[in-house]
Amino acid sequence: MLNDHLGEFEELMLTMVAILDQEAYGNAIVKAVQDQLGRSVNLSAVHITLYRLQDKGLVTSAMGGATANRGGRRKRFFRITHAGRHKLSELQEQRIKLWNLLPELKFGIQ
Amino acid sequence: MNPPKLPLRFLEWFCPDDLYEGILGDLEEKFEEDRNLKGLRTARRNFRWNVLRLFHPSIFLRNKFRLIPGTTALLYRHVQTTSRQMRRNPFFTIITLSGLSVTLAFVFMALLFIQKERSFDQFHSGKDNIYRIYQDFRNAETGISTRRSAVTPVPLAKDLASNLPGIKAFTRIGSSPATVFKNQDPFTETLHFVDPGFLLMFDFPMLQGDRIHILGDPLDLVISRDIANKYFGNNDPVGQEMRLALGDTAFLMKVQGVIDPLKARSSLPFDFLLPLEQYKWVISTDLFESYAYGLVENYILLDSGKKLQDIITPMQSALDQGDAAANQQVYYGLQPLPSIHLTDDITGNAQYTSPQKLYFLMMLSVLVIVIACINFIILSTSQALGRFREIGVRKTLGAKSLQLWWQLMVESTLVSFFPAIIATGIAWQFTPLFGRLTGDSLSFDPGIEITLLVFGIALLVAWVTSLLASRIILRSRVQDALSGRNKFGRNRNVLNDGLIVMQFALSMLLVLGAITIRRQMQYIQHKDLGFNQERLLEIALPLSASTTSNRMLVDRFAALVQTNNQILSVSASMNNSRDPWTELAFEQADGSSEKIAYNQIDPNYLKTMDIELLDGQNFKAGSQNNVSAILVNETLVKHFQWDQPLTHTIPGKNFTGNQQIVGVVRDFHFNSLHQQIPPLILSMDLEPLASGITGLSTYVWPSNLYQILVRIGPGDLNPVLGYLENTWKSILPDQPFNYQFVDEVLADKYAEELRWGKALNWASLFAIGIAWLGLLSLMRLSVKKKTREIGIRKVLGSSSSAVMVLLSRKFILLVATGSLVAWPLAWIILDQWLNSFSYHISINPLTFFLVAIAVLMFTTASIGIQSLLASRANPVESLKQD
Repeated sequence: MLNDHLGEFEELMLTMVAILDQEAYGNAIVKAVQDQLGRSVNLSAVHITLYRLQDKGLVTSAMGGATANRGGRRKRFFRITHAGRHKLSELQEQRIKLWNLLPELKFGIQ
Repeated sequence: MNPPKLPLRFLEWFCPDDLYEGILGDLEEKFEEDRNLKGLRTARRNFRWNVLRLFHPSIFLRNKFRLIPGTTALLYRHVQTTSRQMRRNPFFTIITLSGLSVTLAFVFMALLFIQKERSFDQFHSGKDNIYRIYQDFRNAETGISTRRSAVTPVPLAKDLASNLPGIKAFTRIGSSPATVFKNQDPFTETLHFVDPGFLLMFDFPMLQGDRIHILGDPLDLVISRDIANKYFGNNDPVGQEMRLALGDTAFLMKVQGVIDPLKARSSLPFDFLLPLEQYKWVISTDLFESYAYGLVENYILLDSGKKLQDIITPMQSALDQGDAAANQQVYYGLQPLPSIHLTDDITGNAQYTSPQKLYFLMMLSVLVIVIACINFIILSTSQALGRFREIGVRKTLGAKSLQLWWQLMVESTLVSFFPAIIATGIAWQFTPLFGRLTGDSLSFDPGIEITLLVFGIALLVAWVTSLLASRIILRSRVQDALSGRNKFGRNRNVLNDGLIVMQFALSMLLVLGAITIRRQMQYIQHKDLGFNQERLLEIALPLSASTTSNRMLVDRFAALVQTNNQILSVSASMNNSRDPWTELAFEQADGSSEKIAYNQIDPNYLKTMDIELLDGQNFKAGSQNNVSAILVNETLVKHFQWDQPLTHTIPGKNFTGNQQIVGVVRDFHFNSLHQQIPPLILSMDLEPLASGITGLSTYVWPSNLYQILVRIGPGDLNPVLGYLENTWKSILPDQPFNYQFVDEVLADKYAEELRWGKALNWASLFAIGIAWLGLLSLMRLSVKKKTREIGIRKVLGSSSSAVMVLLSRKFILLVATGSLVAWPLAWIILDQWLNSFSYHISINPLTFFLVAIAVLMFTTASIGIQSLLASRANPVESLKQD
């Protein structure tokens, strides 16, 4: 499973779930992405991606307690799994490794 | 200010249950937020859009698909229960399964037949652009179409193709019997004369030879595979020569190709193809170029972009100029090739199947399905009775009604599956027999569509039935079911009674139909035709252009065979007993036109045929005045309203020569009994009439003697036939001896109706059998229901007979209602059918009563046994139940 490739959006979602820790549910993620990156993402796309991550075993989900607003409906909270954390750090390592391989940037006219 | 309803319902429908709450909560939260920040409209729009985005495979495929509410284990139990149920009631099981099997087999075969008929002529790639030209004859005053004929003038298609744009190819198809020689042995074969376009327009597979370059030369010949085998065996036929006689001339034709005529799928069967110009030798050159006579079929292939209307209007105006007949307007029409096989109101030479035949078969199938369906419903609802306890237990243990419903569905699906398989087997076995019954060869080669259709019908019948049954079973109250009290609603009785009435009405309809068809056929077969058709023989004469030589031939033959004292009389005539007779048209001074049937005969004709002479005298053999003498029939005299027929002549503005009516013969039926006897002229020679003829429709032309008629006296036929054949061979060694018995030919003419009568006999027998089974099982049910009532009545002193009356009364009422429904329906349908005959029996109301009484007695008898058993039963047994 860990060899599964993650798309950019999936990676973003995984990261957001990790960041929001206990508070990661659909709308919270949308808002966090908006706040942190200034990027507007679609709620449905977020949901679809979260379930896909869940299938891959990178996040788990559980229903929260009853709420007063949103029609009394409970929230589905997502939490990152160990496999998810591992995946994230692996991605990070890969990126750093590649970054280091970049030739030093020299701006000059040859 | 809530989110829009429709997307909500949509979401609820496709979203898996365990995700639903979390997703909807998020959506609603977002909706509220949007509403506060951006307004209601944007919020709603976003909501809709989000729901739509969620309709994504990774969401809705997360649903656990369960086609059956209940687990696979339950499905297995259902199968088990079903088979137990079936084993417990072998009587019902066998009746249900066999009834449905036979019905499905019948439908299967009917569908095979319909499929075959619809497949005719469909293999030509250009079929949608190929048309047959027909002439529509309309009365000039009323504008009503009197006749539509596809047998059209010879030059028609050729002239059209050279004058009008848009005709890619054309062919004319003429046919004629001719003598073909294999070494020295003569055979009579039917030849077809066509244009080179024939091979280009139609896709008959060429087995040998080149499609494009042959039939251009007058001596080119193309033969079918069968003929190649018959005449050349294993030798290569291409390049060989064949000798054949056209008219009086013999030709050596060269075989240029072998073709497969695909006779089983084509309305244009042929064995020999000759270039059309050779047709000249069969008819005369005048006829070959004339527009006055319909002799061949004309086919054209239009350019693919061409619309039908683009060609018909110019065609009409191009052809109008030549036509002079004033009282009759000729319109031209184009008939698409694929429709030819199932059209019977345009007469032509192509083979067709009457569409009525298909309708009849379809109607019969529907009728039989309805009857079997009703039976199935009655049987399975009565069977459901025995299951109340089971259902009650299931309900008590918490079965939802949807689950029970599914159980019934699974059961009925299984029950329908067996008959469908059995039906396939039966159909496979009986298709050839069915083919003979319907008058066509039929082979068992169902496509996937038909098989699926039959299985579909089986499933449909089963599902409809179990839906009805489930309504009754599922509504029962648990405590009723468990206590064994079977409370049926009033509805169910009304339903079942209605079904029984319908079933009886339908079976009675079939019986009445079968009886009436049988009576009409008997009437036709035994009707006095005006001549004696028994022991009358027709021998085909060679096609010769000369009347004199044929007459001499007849005289020689007659002189030779009359030495045999079993041969009573010998004569000759132009028209035979099989085909419609020649019809001549005589234009009148006022522009109208008289149509009169015609036959050329010799002086012995009346004696040989046994036709009565009412007035005047017969032709005299060898006498001079015979040349202008003609005989007419009674209808002609009545038609012209003559008091003294012998003083009149046939009216017509073009008549120049001498003619004299020397006698009047009694009417005799020379055409089908579907038609009235038309006016008729008999003469020894066409000459007294020739000058007046302005039109003609005929199967045989020119006027000549085409067959010898022989009346044979009592005694063994075989020696006479041998004697006739030997005599024939002695004077005509080159000609095959082809004969037919007139009574057989006439029987053949009505063979179709006879066959359908037989089919209806079987169908009605079958329907009655099934209806009776339904009644029997219903009776059983009703007796079962009243067991205790009967017991109590008997304890209180009722007699067995009183109990029987109690039980039978209702059923007799049902049968009576059934007859009341069937009578008017049968009357209307049968009256219509009988009216298609000019000579028919009248409907006898007594038959109606008798059939009803017979059915009633039959019913009472079968009910009697059941009620007798019930009434005889010891009340102690029945009352012990509780």
